[in-house]
Amino acid sequence: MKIPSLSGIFCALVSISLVVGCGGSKTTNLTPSSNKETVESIPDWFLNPPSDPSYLYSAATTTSRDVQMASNKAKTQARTDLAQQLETKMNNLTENFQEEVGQGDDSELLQQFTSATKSVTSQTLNGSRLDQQQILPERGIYRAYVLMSIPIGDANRQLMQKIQENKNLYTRFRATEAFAKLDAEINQLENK
Amino acid sequence: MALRQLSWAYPLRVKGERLYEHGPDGSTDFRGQEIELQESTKPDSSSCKLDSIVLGESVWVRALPKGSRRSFDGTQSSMSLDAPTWLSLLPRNTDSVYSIGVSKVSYRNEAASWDLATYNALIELAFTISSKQRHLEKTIVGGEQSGMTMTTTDVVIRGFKVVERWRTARTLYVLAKAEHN
Repeated sequence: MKIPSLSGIFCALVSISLVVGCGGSKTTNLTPSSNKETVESIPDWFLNPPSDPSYLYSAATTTSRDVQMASNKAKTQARTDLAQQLETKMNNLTENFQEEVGQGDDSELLQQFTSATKSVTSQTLNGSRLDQQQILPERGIYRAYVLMSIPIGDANRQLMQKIQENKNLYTRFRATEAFAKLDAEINQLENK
Repeated sequence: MALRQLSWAYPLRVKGERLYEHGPDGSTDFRGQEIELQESTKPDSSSCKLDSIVLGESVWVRALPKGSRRSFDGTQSSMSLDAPTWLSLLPRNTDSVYSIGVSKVSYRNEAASWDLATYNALIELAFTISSKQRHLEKTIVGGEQSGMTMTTTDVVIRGFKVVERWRTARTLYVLAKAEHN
């Protein structure tokens, strides 16, 4: 019987260790570090979203192994940002109203005003629109860029309408600078 | 498949929710969705007519309401090699809302892939027409930031229609529209 040589045994051991070493779990990296190609493919409208007094804009980007999922995640992120922008605008309006009206006896009016702004924020997001979209492959995954917008003019008009439905609130609000500013914004957009 | 998509052309209620989790590294992970379709009309083979055409190795079937005069005659056209404009810039129309549905190609069942892309376009229309978002963010001072977003929809879609289809070697795209609510 032929005894295997030492070199033959050594080669066999090296081969076995290489086969064992090549195994292991593979996971998809959904947050890859950016490279020159990724940076160069960023759409211009993502880096510089449009500016229009009639609209609020939000640009977002996300990744996924699935094309549709990448788009859905990006749109959700953009809508969240739009909601926060709109809420900030409405909160500023509420704060301005509060400063002029003050607290105490008019706290009920303030609550009604806050309720009107929240109602408008909720309804206005129904008009959110996908303006631009780009989906690009990126090292085994897909990256989606989206630009979404909502018409701010509609939000202002809806708020004014809500306030006018409450006679007491409207009477008090009309005397404030906050009303003058909102009214001016609506007129500016309607005369455009 | 054709009959199912025909039922979507009638008023269709779409109820659904999606859940996303936001990680401390800024990532957004999809955590599932639940969608329910409530059809107002379920056409069957007795209430509609089926028209078919053979294109290459595929058979395309179109379901039409009975009495419809449309057919496949004279409708054949070739798909453009260049990506259509609507892939990046959705059409704008005061009467309609548009959406894009996407699916990867299954080489064993391409028809199911097209059906999935059309279904995705339908769901995207629902979330575009009306969606409520609940967003929760948690930040611990000196710690990590995390959050959740839940998006829900409950809307009746009217006049759903596939406007155009396009594909690459691996991905199918469907542009669909519905009446503006």
